[in-house]
Amino acid sequence: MSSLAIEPLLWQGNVFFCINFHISTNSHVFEIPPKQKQLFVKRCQSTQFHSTPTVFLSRLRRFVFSLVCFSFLFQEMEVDSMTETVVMPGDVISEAVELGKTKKLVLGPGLRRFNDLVVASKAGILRQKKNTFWIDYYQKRYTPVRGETVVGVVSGKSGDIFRIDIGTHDPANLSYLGFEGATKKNRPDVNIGDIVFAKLVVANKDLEPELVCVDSLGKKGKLGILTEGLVFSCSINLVRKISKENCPLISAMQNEIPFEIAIGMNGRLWIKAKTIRETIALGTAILASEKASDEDIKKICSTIGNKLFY
Amino acid sequence: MAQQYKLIHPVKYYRDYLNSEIRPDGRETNKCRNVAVNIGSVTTADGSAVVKIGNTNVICGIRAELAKPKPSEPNQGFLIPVVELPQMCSVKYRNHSGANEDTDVFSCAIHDILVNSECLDLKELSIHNDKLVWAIYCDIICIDFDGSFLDAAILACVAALRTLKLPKVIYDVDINDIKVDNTILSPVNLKAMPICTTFMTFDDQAMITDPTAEEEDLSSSVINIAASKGDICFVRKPGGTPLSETQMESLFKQALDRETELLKILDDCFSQQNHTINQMVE
Amino acid sequence: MTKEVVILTRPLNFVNYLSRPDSSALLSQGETVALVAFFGPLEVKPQSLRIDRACFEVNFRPKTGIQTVKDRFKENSIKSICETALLSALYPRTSIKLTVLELENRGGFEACAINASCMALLVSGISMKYTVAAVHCIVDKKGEIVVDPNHRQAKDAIALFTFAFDSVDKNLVACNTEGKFNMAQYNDCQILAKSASEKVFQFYKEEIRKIHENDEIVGF
Repeated sequence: MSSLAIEPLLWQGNVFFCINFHISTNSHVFEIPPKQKQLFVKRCQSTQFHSTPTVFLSRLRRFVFSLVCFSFLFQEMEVDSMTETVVMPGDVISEAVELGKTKKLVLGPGLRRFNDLVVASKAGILRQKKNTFWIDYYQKRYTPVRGETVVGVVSGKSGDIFRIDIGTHDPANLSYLGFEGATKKNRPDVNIGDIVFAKLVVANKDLEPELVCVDSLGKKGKLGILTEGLVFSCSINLVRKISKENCPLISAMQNEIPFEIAIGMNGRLWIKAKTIRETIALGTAILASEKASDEDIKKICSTIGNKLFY
Repeated sequence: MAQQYKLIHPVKYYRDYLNSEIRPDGRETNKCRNVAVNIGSVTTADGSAVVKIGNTNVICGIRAELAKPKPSEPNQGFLIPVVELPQMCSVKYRNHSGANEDTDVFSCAIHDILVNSECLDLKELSIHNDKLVWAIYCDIICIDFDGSFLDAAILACVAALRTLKLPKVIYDVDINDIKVDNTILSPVNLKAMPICTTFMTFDDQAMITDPTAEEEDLSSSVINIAASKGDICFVRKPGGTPLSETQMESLFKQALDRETELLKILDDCFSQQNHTINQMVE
Repeated sequence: MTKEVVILTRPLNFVNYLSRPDSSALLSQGETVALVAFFGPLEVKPQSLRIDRACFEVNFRPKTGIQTVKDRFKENSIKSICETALLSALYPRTSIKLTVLELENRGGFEACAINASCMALLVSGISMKYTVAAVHCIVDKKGEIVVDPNHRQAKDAIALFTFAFDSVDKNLVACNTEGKFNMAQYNDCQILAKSASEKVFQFYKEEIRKIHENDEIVGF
């Protein structure tokens, strides 16, 4: 006989089910690897499990048993996670200190110099690429970086300057001359509440951030006012993840539904598809992919189309 | 020139002094300021004391009121310190009513020190179980805030409690009648006299005893230690520079030494005719 | 003198529970539970603006009723401890806010609140000098020291301590005491609490690892 402990848990309005992930059959104890456990929780979140408890339980059992069957396979798929070092604020990065004695170091976010040492100031995973060190950390609040593109909301107009809320502590400034072809006579039509996709030209901890909607040649490119569509907020990590070149998410979704997307590095995504229904589906899919691996993303995306069009 | 230097580089100015092991006011790092105590000068209060530590000047007046005890502790009286930091005492405090975050923190600290040291047995303040007890309000008003406020406040509070005399109260339970006989006054039984000492660290290393307000502003952390009868009854170190065990131990020793020193001054004060004493720094 | 190794008697549990704040921490230490919400860096009010560092605010909410003087005292110590750990000079002209909610106090709430605040700061991605771990311990009637006691054990305590240690040199960042004790008792408590703080630091690291291993669903 197999035993399975299921415990309902109400969390953020969704019903989650905590499962004892050690499933024992007559003679074997299988442990579901974290990646699969993850996928499973994602499955629970997705609509297919939102049905009556009995139906849910039967589906759950079927799902778990299928997992048990492939358990050996999964175990081989598991990636060695010990190669990633977790660092905490105050930790001395000895590799960097050693390397710094002979080479020039580049310290990225989360690291600072303290006397002759390199010390972490944020909690996360230490990354290294040649002589560059940085820390990957979880963050929701945006700190402006020069040259990054952001999605903001026009929160005010004062004289020649628009105030744009981009999620930082101070609203960013956007001059009316920061639009393509704008002159004193030909002012751009910007209203409070509009969504703007813009580039940061001034980002300094002592100054207010400043935006423009043109590139260095005065062309607007993809920048400017965004009409229609929806804005989703997410963590900075998710934005970085999906804007990576090799991230399969956007391309996987393109195969399913045509859409437009503006990724603001400040943790805001503007999405526009043919219908609101599709837009929301895409948004939720992106938000759900935060904790998924690349393989999982492909799996999640492959079902979106089916769900939307039954 | 020194004035301008101090204004532009206050930290560096102070560091220069410490490098030659002396503080701007001429003290060594572990020396306290001189203390002056005067008792019983506020005649309208039931007990009172004025304490000066350097420029820090604190008045404590005690009023005893009759109150109904808490149902949870029917046989216990109340001891309620109330700190006031009026606008005149420091530029730090702008509020006219003298209420701000610091007053709450100080009030709580003073209450903790008095209660932890068991200086008053609250049960002795009970007149009739569940009906009538004494509520002792210690109103502590800062006249001049020049650092180490808690030291002065505790000393003033203890001195004032020592002068406190409570009238005899006759309480008739059946008709709920209270008679106060102001001709028969008896002092309260003060079991312990806690003494608090303030320390601070500067530049993450130098340990400084009895800092002035100027020094406290430059400090990297402030530590309060209260001692009573050779034991410790209160330690407060709210963040700031981390300290090692040996550093803490040296602070405890100093706090215990300060206790005997200040208690002697207090005893001298009570034995003097005019109830005033001025300790001079040798 | 040899001392046996102390382990925290009560289990620690953490979840980033709230979705709206920049980060949050629901930390339980045995039956004691604190919820901390972190916001920042935010726009600062002109009267509290500081040009060289962030203005750091802590708001402590007791389980019932309004704030008492005692709560303000706790609030003040949580504030200064977190301020010590933060590198607030990196965020000038901003404000950083922490709301600490008392959910359940079954002994050692202050230590739990400090640990929860530290956890919230860690998850928010704000720059810090070091982490801080707080440990509660008591001396009971028999003169024995109990580290992180539960409600029942703490009932007949003659002295209570809350220590906070930094993660780098393991020195004493903060200390609050209640009751009367001698120097030897204090020293013993501090040494025992210090070794127990190691457990909290390990817990912090383990939780951060979980967040980055994609094992745990973080509130979104």
